[in-house]
Amino acid sequence: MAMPGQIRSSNASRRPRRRPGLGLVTGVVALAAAVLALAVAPPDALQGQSQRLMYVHVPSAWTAYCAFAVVLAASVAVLLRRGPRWDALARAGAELGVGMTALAIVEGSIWGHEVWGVWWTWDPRLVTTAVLLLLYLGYLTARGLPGAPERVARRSAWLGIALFAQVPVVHFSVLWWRTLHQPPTLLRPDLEAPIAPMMLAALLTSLAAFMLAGAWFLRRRVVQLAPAEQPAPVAAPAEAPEDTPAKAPAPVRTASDLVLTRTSA
Amino acid sequence: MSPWVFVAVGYLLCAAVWAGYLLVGRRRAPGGKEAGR
Repeated sequence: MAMPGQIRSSNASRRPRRRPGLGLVTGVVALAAAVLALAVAPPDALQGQSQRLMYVHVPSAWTAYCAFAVVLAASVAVLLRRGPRWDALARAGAELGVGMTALAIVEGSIWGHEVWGVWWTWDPRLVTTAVLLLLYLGYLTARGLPGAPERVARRSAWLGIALFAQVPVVHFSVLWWRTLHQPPTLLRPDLEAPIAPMMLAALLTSLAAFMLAGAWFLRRRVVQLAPAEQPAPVAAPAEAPEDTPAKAPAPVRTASDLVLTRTSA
Repeated sequence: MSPWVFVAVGYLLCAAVWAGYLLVGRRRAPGGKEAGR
């Protein structure tokens, strides 16, 4: 029960509810994806076993796209003054997207070394993806620049909206320019995926695992990042007489207060 | 070198990145255990 002078922080309602289901489901799907990708799916006819890197490379890139879409949506919400939680979501989305983009680049580099014979080449897909990574690293850096929280949030929101323009450039780079990178496997204009059914199952399961893990991270991270709301004082108890003036909050007891109380007693 | 080596490096790297996100996500909110009280 609340006591007079006690403050109740609404932060309690923002604590992440214990939902072990999401973590458990993520773990099970990730395990299934690993089995499908490493043991069940057949090796590629031309690339051999190296092609199994696709099951982590492609979901990394897609998760990055989705994370940056979260930044975009949350940034719009910030500009519509929906509250600081959306600003926290934008930052969390950028953190997730940057990590996934970096992972996609490194996985692609390992894969490229195996099938192209080089770790890196100045290919449109690779360059545009590297630019995407640098842009969102800049976004996270810009968020750390000094300023009032409201001002930083709005400034970052404009940046978060503008930077998303790079995502379609990355995706369509393999269609717009002549490139060494293969064209999209699933998100193709003709929607006909040239992929074996078991490979497709492994890819989609891996994608589901990445998405679930990303959702888990975003949910936890927003709670960490969102600033605590202003504590609201609790009203005086009902049993107090109406004509009694409201009591001032009890002073905070310190160690010296206790010493004084004991010596005076 | 066997292509499985590169596949293993790729998957281990992926696991390491997600482990990093897991650790960050499991960290307590500022104020620690008492933050919500």
